[in-house]
Amino acid sequence: MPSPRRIRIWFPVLLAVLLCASPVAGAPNDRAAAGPSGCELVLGFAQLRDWVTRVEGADLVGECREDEYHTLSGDGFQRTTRGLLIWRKATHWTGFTDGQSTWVSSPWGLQKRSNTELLAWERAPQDPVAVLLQGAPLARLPAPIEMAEVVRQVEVLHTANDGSTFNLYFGDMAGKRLYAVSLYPERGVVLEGRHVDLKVLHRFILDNLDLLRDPRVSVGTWFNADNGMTYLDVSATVPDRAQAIQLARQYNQIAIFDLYSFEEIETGGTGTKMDNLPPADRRLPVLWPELR
Amino acid sequence: VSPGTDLMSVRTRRTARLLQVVQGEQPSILVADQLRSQAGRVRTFTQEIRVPEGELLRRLLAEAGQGDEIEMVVVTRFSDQGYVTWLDEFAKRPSTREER
Repeated sequence: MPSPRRIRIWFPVLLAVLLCASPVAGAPNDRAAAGPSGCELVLGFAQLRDWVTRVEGADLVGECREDEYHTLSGDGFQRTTRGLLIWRKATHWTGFTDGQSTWVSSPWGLQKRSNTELLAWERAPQDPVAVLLQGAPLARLPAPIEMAEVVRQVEVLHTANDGSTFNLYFGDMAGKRLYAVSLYPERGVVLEGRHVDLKVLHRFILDNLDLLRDPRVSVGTWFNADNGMTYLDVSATVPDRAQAIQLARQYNQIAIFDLYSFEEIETGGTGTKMDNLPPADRRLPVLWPELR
Repeated sequence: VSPGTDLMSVRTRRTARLLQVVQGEQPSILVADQLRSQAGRVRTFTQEIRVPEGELLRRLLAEAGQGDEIEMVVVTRFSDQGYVTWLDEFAKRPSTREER
């Protein structure tokens, strides 16, 4: 039995929800009949419609048929003349479905899938890395780890495992379902021995902060048992295998590295420098405006 | 060479596969190393290394080609302004065919 206090708190909320949701849920056609001018697509929905139109070459989303409305969980919905726009609050997932296919926006671009399947990062919503890498606003990211702690942890991981992949927001990335794509060969450094000097490591990370501030980019270390040297590099850590391969091919990379299975996957590139290579900080797709 | 106060210079000698000699305002080479961990895992590491010395670049173009194994001396200078890596010396390693 709810207490009177709870009823007092919930009643206005419930009333507001009912007032907002009833016209939409109960009589959507009435709103549609009012004409498209009575509603508009804004923010992420407007952006997604632009993306779909640009990528597909046609306006598959269509005009809005109602104002965006929110469920108690905070998820947003808006019907259009061609389907349904959806925003999931918990994961900041934004998509559009026409009933058969779904278009999902992500920092890796617009992704299309059938309604009966899920993308790799959608299948692992419990994994904060997979969820956040899909383009959650900066405010949703964990605070970056302090520099001294980053250096310390990289050194500890490298010493323990003869290598490391470390992200300023998520920490140790090894063993996660991610693929490392080397996009910045000009940033790599090779050092003698297994031990990495903390001063050098600190300098290396500091000088690559322009890239590492992006949550999709991580610092890597690897001790090469064949020649007794340690290799430092900076790479993109991509949650989707197909996207990782596509990115590697885009930049003519020889291979990507699976951080879960620790296996290399050849991508068919030659490793040579492509013409008109963008500056290092423009090699990944632009993140959402919060990170621009 | 970057300005700033020297923190450390690292000079390494290693063998890598030459992928490309990039000419232009800032000549460089791209090389690939096949890395192997103690556990036997492998990965490819590609590195772009500047070649600021004109004579060295001429020798590279004359003596080495794509796919050649080269033994190289690479210097990375860390300063309080950043780090920069350049090729200091190289020698083409004879291929198996040439060794015969």
